[in-house]
Amino acid sequence: MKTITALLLYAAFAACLHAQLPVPLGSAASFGVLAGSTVTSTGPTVVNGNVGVSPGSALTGFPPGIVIGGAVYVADAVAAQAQSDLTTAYVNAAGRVCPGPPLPGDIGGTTILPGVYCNSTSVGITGPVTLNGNGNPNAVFILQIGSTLTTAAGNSAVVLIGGAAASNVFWQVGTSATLGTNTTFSGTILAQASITVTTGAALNGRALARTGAVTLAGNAIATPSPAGAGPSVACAYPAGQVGVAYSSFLVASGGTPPYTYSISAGSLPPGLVLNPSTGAIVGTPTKAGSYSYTAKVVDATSASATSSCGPLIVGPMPVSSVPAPPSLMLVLTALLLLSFYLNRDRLRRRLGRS
Amino acid sequence: MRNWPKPLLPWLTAAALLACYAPALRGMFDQWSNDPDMSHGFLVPILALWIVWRERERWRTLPAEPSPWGFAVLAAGAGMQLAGALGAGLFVSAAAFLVSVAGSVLCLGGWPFLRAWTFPLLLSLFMLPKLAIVYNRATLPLQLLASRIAAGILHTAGMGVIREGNILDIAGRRISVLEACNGIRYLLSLGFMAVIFAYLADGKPWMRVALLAAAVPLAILANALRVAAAGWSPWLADGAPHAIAGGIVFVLSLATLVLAQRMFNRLYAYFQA
Repeated sequence: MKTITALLLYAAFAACLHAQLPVPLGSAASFGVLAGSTVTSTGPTVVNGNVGVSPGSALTGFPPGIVIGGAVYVADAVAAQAQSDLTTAYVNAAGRVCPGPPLPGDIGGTTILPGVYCNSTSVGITGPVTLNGNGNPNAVFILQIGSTLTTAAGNSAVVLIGGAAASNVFWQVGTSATLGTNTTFSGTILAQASITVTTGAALNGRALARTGAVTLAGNAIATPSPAGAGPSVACAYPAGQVGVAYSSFLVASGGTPPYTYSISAGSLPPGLVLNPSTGAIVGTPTKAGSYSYTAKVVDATSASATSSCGPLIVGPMPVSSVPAPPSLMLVLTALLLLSFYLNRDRLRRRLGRS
Repeated sequence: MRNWPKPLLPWLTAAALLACYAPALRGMFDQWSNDPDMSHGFLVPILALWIVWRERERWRTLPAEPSPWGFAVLAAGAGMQLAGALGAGLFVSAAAFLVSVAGSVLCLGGWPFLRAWTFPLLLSLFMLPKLAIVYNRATLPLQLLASRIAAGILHTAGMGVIREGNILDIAGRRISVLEACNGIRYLLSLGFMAVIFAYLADGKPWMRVALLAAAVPLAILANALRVAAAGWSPWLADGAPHAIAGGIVFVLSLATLVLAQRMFNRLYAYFQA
């Protein structure tokens, strides 16, 4: 009898872990970036999908940021509906039963199987965390985090293997999420408050904030393809300048991660280099011009996709101007020195006396 | 009409002038606050008043000889103020303020007082807003002149420079001599300092004119030198090093003015002998 009970409990536990349905995002699924108060971007951000803000109405940084395959919605009916659907999705994700044990405070270096995981406080990611779909292309990962999600700057990454798809990874964050510099992240972030994506971070997923701001800084964000779809690849930011550091990403989605990136036709501007495993394109352009290229991605099953990108336009070296200091500063400095000069005899006498 | 006690009259007149010209004074204050070319304007009235105070022994002994011409000058000032308010601009209104100050001095103290305060009144011209029509005409030629001289300096220093109008291309690094780099800032600041230096260091009134005249080419050359320094070293083209280099070049210009004053004095002594 005891054995049968244990087996039933194990079956229920396994069912909890493995048989999750994806979180229903509704119309929010088409948004790469959605905020409650403000969307702020600095630098060459490229978002593949919609960008929206509601009920707030502040959206800055587009351009220079660009939106591909989507549109910008500011405090309108589309953004309001997406926020409403985000609330439903957030509550759905937060309400999933978490069988335990709790996630550790830093999940960097661990491998996570499909299921629901939780930590009532904060979770950090230092280095790579691997989400293994165990061969199931419909595997769902739901990570409930009570307070904050933070990835360390540098080489932090969410690595998808074993059929895991970014479209089925959900990070439900109780307050705010911060993706550190150059993080490569996968999955949909459902944050109660705000999301900050720092310089050079790439997100194969969505940054959806209910009440607060989404802050971007020269990032590549691509809304993931639905699970089961073939691979696709989004292009990098299409502009640079000679002598100015450039950093952007090719972002792959769909298919079976991990991906391998390459340039199958044309070429990147001289000075820029593609990282075949992360899709990062970095470097300092050395020659002005217009460069068209075809980005290619190959997934783990050797399925491939290409995108005609470009032109990536490299402008001439920026012109710096050299204005003089304010006249108040010049005159004050001059008056000070002049008073020393005109009273030099008196000063000399005083110094001699002392 | 009530007879106001005599010492009160100048203060009442000053208060009336400040009240009448409040919009023009506010406009000047705004320009001093917002235009880095004109921020020295804050110091001009302070120094003018300091000079009046410094020379108090001289003008306190003067007899007050109120002149009816003062009313004519005041009327001219009021007319200018009206023209400024009707659209002639802030420069006209600000100049009207100085004209009215001169008219008030004439009304209360007469010609002896106006003569005694001529220098601080003329010095106050440095606080007037930039005259847009002159500034706009002068800007482009000054930009091009600064670019040309800076390119020449860099050539002389053995550096390869390609000049395209106001843009200097130095080994692929491009520096634009924008409006803010046209040298007006140096010109106004150095001109002002030249007059102050001549007043403090030399009693001869012609020295003020001579040093002011010397400040013009010196300021243009100093500005070009500053641009050339930024072209010579990328480190000097931005941020604090750039500001400090600009200050040092200005101080060197001032030192050149000191040398010029000595040279003028020697020439004067030579021709006197």
